[in-house]
Amino acid sequence: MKIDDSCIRCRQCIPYCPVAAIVYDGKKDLVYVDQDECVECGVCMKSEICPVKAFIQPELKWPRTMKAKWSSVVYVHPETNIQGRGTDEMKTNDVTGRFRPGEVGFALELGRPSTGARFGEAEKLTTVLARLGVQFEPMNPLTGFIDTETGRFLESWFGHALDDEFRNTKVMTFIIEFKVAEERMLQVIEAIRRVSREIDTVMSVGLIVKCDGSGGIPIKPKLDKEGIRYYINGKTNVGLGRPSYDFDLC
Amino acid sequence: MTHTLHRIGDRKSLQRDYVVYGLSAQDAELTDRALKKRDTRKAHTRFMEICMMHDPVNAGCIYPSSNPYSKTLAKGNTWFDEMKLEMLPFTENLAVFDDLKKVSAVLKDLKEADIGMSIVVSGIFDEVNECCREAGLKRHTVNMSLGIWGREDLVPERKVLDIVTMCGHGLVSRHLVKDLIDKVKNRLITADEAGIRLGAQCVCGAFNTARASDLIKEMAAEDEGPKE
Repeated sequence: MKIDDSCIRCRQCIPYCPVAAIVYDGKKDLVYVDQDECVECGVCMKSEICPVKAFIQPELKWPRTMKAKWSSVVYVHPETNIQGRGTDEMKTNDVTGRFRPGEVGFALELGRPSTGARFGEAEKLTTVLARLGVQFEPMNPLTGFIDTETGRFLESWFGHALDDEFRNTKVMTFIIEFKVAEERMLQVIEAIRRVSREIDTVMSVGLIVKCDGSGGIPIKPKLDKEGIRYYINGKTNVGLGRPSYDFDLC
Repeated sequence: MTHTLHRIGDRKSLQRDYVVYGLSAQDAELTDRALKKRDTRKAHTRFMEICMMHDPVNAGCIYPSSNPYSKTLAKGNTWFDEMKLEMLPFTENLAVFDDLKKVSAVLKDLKEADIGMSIVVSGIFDEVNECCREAGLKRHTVNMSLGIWGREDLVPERKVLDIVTMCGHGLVSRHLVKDLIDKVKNRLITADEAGIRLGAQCVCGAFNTARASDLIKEMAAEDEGPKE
């Protein structure tokens, strides 16, 4: 996103940017978009706060195209044909059977909340996770960038180099999705905690588990015993999806 | 994605914050199987009709197409005139409620309607579980939050976080929250108007405008200092 010469320096747009990329330079009396920080989410333009419509959306080139796609809520990733930054994860588990009894799903969303993240931060985690033998979610668009054996970024993706410029590209958020056997959950949590001290952003950490026959949450006792804190709120799939996945076949 | 997870707040505040989400699996084979069994467009419409009957504080529909777009109540769109008429077979729909009794009623109606979509409720686990029991349902799968890890020094203060985490897509700016608190404090706008302005930045409709108004009211009052 850029601001053209019609800008009247009213600065009303500045608070609208979720990553504080709109800057006022008092010495030059100039309002501009910091191109490195901007994640191309388009909130500034869509808010219609600018009284003179000074925001302009230039045509984007690789890897900047990734900013717009990964900051979009509605973009359908062509390699997975899935809308948004992640998958349906547990939301349709009653139909897909993606998470089965005895498995724990993880969703690590880097850059969330209110921070943004550069793609290179993902590799710090995926390399460690690959060594632990986690099963990366194949339908997650970020998985498409990595060699799931090593956790390193591929050299190229659809003809585009996954180089340092790509690694330094900042987007709103991205999600690392994977699952492990329940008995390895604590080991993986500990590894993630270690890497979290090295990343230059924040991440929101989510766990997914199929409930037991009485609707109980089977991993709770382990989390409680280890003193791993979790929020009192979260998402509950109430099991109304059809056709139902037959978990008895697992 | 996980956009209705990781909502921050104390129990009292979260007791006014529940999101009911209805969707069909985004998997070609499963979708194909599901389509043979039912009219997906009709199911999505029925889901939203049920939600709208119980007076949500916000709601939204994302219309996937070659040029995807969305409509939400907070953006000023209306259900009957705009959202319903454009319902597509794979629309993603959700509604936000500020009262658990409404969620319970929605779940009962959804169970009776048997529309075949996966239904997810975001909210306080034990209370949602009780709603499931009341509706004769058993929870199937849960998504828990272990919170924020990493450079916590980069995130805003707690009460601002309570508001911005209601937009899991990250489109509600912390700076806009602070700007609007100042405007409320200076009586330029009301807290309700501030809640709507924040909600208008949210693309999917998951932002709880009523809870945001309450939190802004609290923060504006705190900033003014103790009353004489």
